[in-house]
Amino acid sequence: MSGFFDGERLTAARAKVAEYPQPRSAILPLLHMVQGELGYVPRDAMREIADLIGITPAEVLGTGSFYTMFKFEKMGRHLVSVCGGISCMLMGSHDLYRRMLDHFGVGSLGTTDDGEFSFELVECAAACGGAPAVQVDYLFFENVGADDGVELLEDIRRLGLDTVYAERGSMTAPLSPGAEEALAAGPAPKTAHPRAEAEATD
Amino acid sequence: MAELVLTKRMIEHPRDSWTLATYEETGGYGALRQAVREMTPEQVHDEVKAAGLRGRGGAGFPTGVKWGFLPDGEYPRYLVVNGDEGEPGTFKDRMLMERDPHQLVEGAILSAYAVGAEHVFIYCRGELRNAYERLCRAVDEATEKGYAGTNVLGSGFDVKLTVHRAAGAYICGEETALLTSLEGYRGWPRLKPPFPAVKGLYAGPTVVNNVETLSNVPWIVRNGGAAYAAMGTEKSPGTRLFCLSGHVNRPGNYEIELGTPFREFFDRWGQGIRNGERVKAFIPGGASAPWLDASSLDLPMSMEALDSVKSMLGSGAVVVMDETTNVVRPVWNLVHFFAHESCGQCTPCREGTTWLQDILARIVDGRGRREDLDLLLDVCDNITPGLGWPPAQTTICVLAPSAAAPIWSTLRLFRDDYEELLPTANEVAAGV
Repeated sequence: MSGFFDGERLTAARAKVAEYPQPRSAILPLLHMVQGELGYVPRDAMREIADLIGITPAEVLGTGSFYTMFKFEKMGRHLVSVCGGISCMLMGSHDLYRRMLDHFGVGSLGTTDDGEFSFELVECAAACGGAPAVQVDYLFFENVGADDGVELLEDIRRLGLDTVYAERGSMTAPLSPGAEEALAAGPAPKTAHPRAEAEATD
Repeated sequence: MAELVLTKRMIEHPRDSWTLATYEETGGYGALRQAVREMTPEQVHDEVKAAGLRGRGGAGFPTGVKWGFLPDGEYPRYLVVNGDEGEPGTFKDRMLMERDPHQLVEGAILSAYAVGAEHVFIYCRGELRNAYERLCRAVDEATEKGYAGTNVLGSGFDVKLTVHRAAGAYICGEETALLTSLEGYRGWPRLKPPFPAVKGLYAGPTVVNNVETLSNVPWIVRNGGAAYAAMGTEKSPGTRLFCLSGHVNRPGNYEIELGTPFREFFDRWGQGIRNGERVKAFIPGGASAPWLDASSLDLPMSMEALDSVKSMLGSGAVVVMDETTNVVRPVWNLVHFFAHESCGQCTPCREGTTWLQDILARIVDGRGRREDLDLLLDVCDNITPGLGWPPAQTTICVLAPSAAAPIWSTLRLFRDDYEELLPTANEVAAGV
């Protein structure tokens, strides 16, 4: 029977299983392999994972469904995760999310009609210094103002995620600009708006 | 001013601090070379003990002491690196994994050497795609160069490293839940004892340490534990990464010496409060910490000072709110977070956090009832009797008491904010 785990994928999957002292530890890595390629985990793939590990498909679903990253239904080409955590909320991320949904005419957790974007409001994404933060396919965009979100996504639709990410993405969490001066003894440096500064140093 | 232990490389080499070439050029893997050639595992352990290094994941337990809990002569042993950063307000481990993955890898190998672990698992939060990819690359490079794998640098010491990608469950940052998750199950915390040191991963002796904690180890081995202990305060030695966010002009991750007062931290590092406002409330150490108000601004940022006001430095996340803020909505946000992330094992948590969230939601919506404020405290008290700090527990882990802390602390400090949102008697009578 041909399925998801064929050829190279099967070899990679078996190597993953062998990496751990006990095969069941490979359950999340194998679910990630499937989702990384398909954007979700179909039922058939869960059966294959069960066979690879030696557990039942119900155990794969029962474990996988505990973890919010795994999706079990087809998603849009890009997953847009807006951070709803406290720091992003204080900086307006809930408004940002609402405006995106209104613009694209979808509800929370919905997918646009053309299948381009699915949306979710997520718990703290570990980008509080760049609040409000958005992830597209788990790549970070930081300091996305309530008015900027729609434009960001329209640009991604037009130019592709790689291009827009290379221009505007945040490769790393911000080590705040001016950290060196601040750390040296002496009066605090005068700075412009933090966002403008972040752009200047990146 | 203290030396930068964790962030020197990423500040001086902002573009390529994460590459092996830069790491080696700036002295990287020198500590490992020194350790495996000139030091016994016990000597490495002794330096970490002498440094007084305390865990940076939240609990602040002394790292060297934790290592000492491993039972003699029991193998295999595991070292698990907790990189499941997800505490609201916290974003330091992400930076360490993305910008200096080799520093963490070297720290992990040194620690594995000290405790006699043969396999290191780096449990990396799933959503941090760049961190995961850079860690995988760092481990591959380290193994290729002989810093990891069999016979590390010709010393006869063997260690294997596996980067494990998590999948979005905050509770897996709790060390026993992390181990359950790593074994391939739903991330459910376990009762302690037995502690992981005795029965951890696959029921074997296991040390679980946070990313920032282990990232300090190369510096400590290179410079000696005494040099580390000379920084900071007596009970909170060294430097520490604080994640500053919220209504400050310049949010970010800052490595500072412990003992700096919050006011100075906000003014100098944070460049003051936005729009020239004043501080109304701040969370001193992550979403689980009881909140403080402006009267605590002169408190030094040390574990012992926070103990004295019944709060904590926790994960190092400092969230600032200015005077325009009504605190109830941010409190609801945190409680919603904990309710969402409850694993569901314990009734006081599964039901209690959900009730707290629902009650807060109706207050925020203007549909609160006057008796709701006492009801909130009553539910909190059922979760964590006495509403004290450190919290009493009715549950396996501390997630539920963490959800209660923002509520009872703000009801003490900012009760007016809650009252302000309650409908007036006239509004209730009119059915508005």
